Amino acid sequence: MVESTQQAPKRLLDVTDLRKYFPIKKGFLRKQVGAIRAVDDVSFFINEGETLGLVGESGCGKTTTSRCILRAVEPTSGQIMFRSTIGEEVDVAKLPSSQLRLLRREMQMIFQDPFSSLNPRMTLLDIVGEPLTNHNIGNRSEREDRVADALKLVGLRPEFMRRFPHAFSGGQRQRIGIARALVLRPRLIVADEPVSALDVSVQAQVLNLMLDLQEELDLTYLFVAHDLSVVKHISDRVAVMYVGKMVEVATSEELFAQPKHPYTSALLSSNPQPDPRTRSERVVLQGEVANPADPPLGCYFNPRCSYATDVCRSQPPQLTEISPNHFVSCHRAEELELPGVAMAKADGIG
Amino acid sequence: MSNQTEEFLSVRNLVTHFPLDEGTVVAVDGASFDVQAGMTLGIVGESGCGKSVAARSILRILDKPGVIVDGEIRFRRRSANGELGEVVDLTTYDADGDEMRSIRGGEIAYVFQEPMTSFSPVHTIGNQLMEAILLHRNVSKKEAEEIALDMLRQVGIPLPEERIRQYSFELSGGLRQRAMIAMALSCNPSLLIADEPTTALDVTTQAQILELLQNLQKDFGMAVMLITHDLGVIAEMADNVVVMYLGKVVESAPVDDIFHNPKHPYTKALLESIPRVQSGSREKLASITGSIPHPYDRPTGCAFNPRCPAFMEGTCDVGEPELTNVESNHQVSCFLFQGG
Amino acid sequence: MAEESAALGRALDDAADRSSERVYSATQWQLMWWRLRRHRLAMVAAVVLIGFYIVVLGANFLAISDPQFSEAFRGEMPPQRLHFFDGWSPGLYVNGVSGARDLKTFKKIYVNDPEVKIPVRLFARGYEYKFLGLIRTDRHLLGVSAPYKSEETLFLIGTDVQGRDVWSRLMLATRISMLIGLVSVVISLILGVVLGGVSGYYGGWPDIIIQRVIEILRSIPTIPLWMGIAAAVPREWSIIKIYFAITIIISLIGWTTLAREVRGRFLSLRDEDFVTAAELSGASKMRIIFRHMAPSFLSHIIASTTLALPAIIISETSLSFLGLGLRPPAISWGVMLQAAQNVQTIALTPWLMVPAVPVIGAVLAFNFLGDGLRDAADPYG
Repeated sequence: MVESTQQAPKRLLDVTDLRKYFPIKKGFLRKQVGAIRAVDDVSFFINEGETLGLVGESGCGKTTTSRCILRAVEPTSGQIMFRSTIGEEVDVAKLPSSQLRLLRREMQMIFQDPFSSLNPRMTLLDIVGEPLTNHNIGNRSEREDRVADALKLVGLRPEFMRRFPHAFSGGQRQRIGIARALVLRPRLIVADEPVSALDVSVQAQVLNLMLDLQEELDLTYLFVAHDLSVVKHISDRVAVMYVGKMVEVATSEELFAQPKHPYTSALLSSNPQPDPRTRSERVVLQGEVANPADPPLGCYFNPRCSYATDVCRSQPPQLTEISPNHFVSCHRAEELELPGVAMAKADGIG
Repeated sequence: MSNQTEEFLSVRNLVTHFPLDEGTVVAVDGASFDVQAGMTLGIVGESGCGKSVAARSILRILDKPGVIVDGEIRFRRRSANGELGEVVDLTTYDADGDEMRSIRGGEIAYVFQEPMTSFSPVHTIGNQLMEAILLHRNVSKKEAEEIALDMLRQVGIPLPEERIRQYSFELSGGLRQRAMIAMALSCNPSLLIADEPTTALDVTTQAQILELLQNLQKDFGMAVMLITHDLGVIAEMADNVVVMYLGKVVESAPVDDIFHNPKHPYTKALLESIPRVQSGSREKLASITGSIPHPYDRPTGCAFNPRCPAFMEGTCDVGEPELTNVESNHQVSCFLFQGG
Repeated sequence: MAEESAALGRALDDAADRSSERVYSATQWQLMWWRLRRHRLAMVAAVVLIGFYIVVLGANFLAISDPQFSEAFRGEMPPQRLHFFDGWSPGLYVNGVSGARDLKTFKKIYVNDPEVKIPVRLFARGYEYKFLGLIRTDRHLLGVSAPYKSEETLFLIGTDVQGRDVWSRLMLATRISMLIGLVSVVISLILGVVLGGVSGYYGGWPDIIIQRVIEILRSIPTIPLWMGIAAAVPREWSIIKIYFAITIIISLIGWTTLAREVRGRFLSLRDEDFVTAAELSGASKMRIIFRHMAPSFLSHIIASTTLALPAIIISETSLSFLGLGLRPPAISWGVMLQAAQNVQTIALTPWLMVPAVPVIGAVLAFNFLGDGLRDAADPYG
């Protein structure tokens, strides 16, 4: 974001040094012998009204991060500053549970699996109306109206209220989950891989829906995904994680066109392109993803990095801003020229 | 060397049903496609299109109560001296009979999507690999172990002597999939069927496995039938592509044609609706309206007609189109290209 | 955009709507019932069990003679044949029987007298009792009218050593044996769900303690335990008190299985996305447990409970059979089978083993029904 005459965008969410360690207990007395560092000193922010895509492979900590922000999982340490509607900033990590409950009206989650995220034994009215019931909003008929509105917003007929989830397809269920997240008109929505479990043709519908809703309702998204193409379509800015660490954060365009971290570049390159004419350009990363319970010394990525030097193997890098709004955690960020992904050519594909 | 235009695997009008209490699910509704020796056929489609069921029908490993109702599966077997031999119709064999069992693993191998559940958790990797080898080849246990170690090396598993004694849960997802590929290739099959082999893997691991499959295909000279819903993977790996929808083949062409010259409205819509890294950020996708019909609620006429942007009333909702040649090697099943 | 897709969605959904609305709006219980209906064995078992519980309700009505009325004179009488036709015309009757003692073997011999035809009536008068504990009446399903007396003439399954009508005793035994099962199961259910739920939902120390308690309880050998407790129960307690004491003892061990199952379900449900979603939408812990998690395992609990009942019935029968449970003058299947403990019975008065038949029948019926319920229990997979 370049300086302009407008004021700088306000940060809705500002996470600093977030950590979530899962203890490894062994033995009869369950002594702690180590820890899985699922989220290891992660810092990032999201501006109001924008979408931050959070990407990484399995074990990178993106899901745990997303759950920590909502305190569905208790963080081990760190600060999660959220700008609530009254204008003041609260640290979600330290809120007492009564206030947390109220704050939950402003931040909601959309889940990955459309089959396990809806209680199969509750009707749509119950499921989407649950947040309203829990916060004692309105009487029964008012709640029904609001549920009907939420269902219409996501493109489902309100008459479906009395049906159970088993009557719906994966894409429709995902819409129900979105309706549930929207019914309280939250400001932040954390979407945990919301389209990964859907068919390709349905993915597009749900992504478009999310983009529409963002405009209509002035929403801010934290979009967690492993699929870079999906992330490109929906995000303003993208953050890349590897084994619990944040390795790069930048705007969508910059990250994809000019990645500064070797892992980002490898991730982009590994992504299979739907165009047989681009086959020869792959860079295949060797080795396995590092173990979050026993990460390597220095930079976690160094065993697989083709640019690793001695300092990489001994010193962990810090996340630094190497150009306006472009953060990288790599010792060699300034000097490396890494291949990215070019924008579409004019003739397009297909 | 095999003549590429000779028949190797030909599926003709395959119909597979699943008679359930609630009704009969027509999983494959008259699908026809060919695999050529030494080449890769990619079968792509969304859920319910029948691609996995078609693959399992070939090897006769359908889940109960699945049954092949009609069609032919012509496969060219390997003769005793290792050369390509005669063509047989696999639908005529007894699914549990000796013939099929000798083909399974021996001439046609199968790699599954979920390597964790495809390995027995109570046997070591080595055990399972050796079982496959001993079943199909006339070798001693010691020789089988040697072959198993060699296979593990070929698929790129480091320290195979250690790994061979490990259980499947001790290996990471990528290594497990490699081990499964090793098991599949241990008897030098002429055809490898890979059913969503990388869907459960991370993208960097996926790239490794796909590269491995390509190399192995060259080394072993085998044909590959790759089943996936991921068009990117198809573009990477396939020589020829078959697009399926609701149990039927809607388009069949070489890979470049499918991506750069698609004819069927479904193929076109699918290509337009996939997210691409080259797009602008926050660009909306062209989506296909509606959703895949429930298997019990198949539309009358062309299966795609309720969602088709080129829908022609009176034609598409009445009859079913046939797979016809539109260009050399390019077949489409659509009324836009039929009737002269 | 949402409008467009809604419009097209409308067109597509109309096609699918036909008769599917019923299925789409079906609750968990409806789906479960539909699946259960198809399980023929379970349906037959259900009918059989309904039959048993009708007997429970109308035990006295179905009985013929006062179960405690004994007349040694008529001891060890074999079952009488109930005739339905007198020559060609319909009529219910039994033959008169005269008894004598074989002087050589001292065995009682009963001889049927085909000339004497004692008519059997429906809804006849007999001994007095309170129907359902409320209405005083003396009507019974079957009986004989004056000048004959039921307790002297009608013995469908013969008499035991003391001359008591086995059929009538069987009716009352059914009531007690089937009811003990129910009461025990309810107690086990409450204990099992509460303790299992605490164990599974909270985890940590409560879980560890409860699980160890369960393991200790399950490792105690049952028969010696029962013997010990039976010895500890004061002899002067009334039958009812002993009955309840036995019930409670059985259920104090029986809750462990259910607790483990409930704990397992809670552990797996805790991590389900919809539970997280409920938490995030502001639900309190209580609401999550009762509104969100409980319905998910309710169906399994019903199935488990149905399968636990036969075990309890067999426990009570075994205990009473060994003389450790109910004792005369209480009547249960086990108490009746006590009389059948020796070879003499099997050889000479095999009809005294008849109480084994309802035991087997009830246990099988509960098992089949429980299996059917378990198969139908998770319609959502």
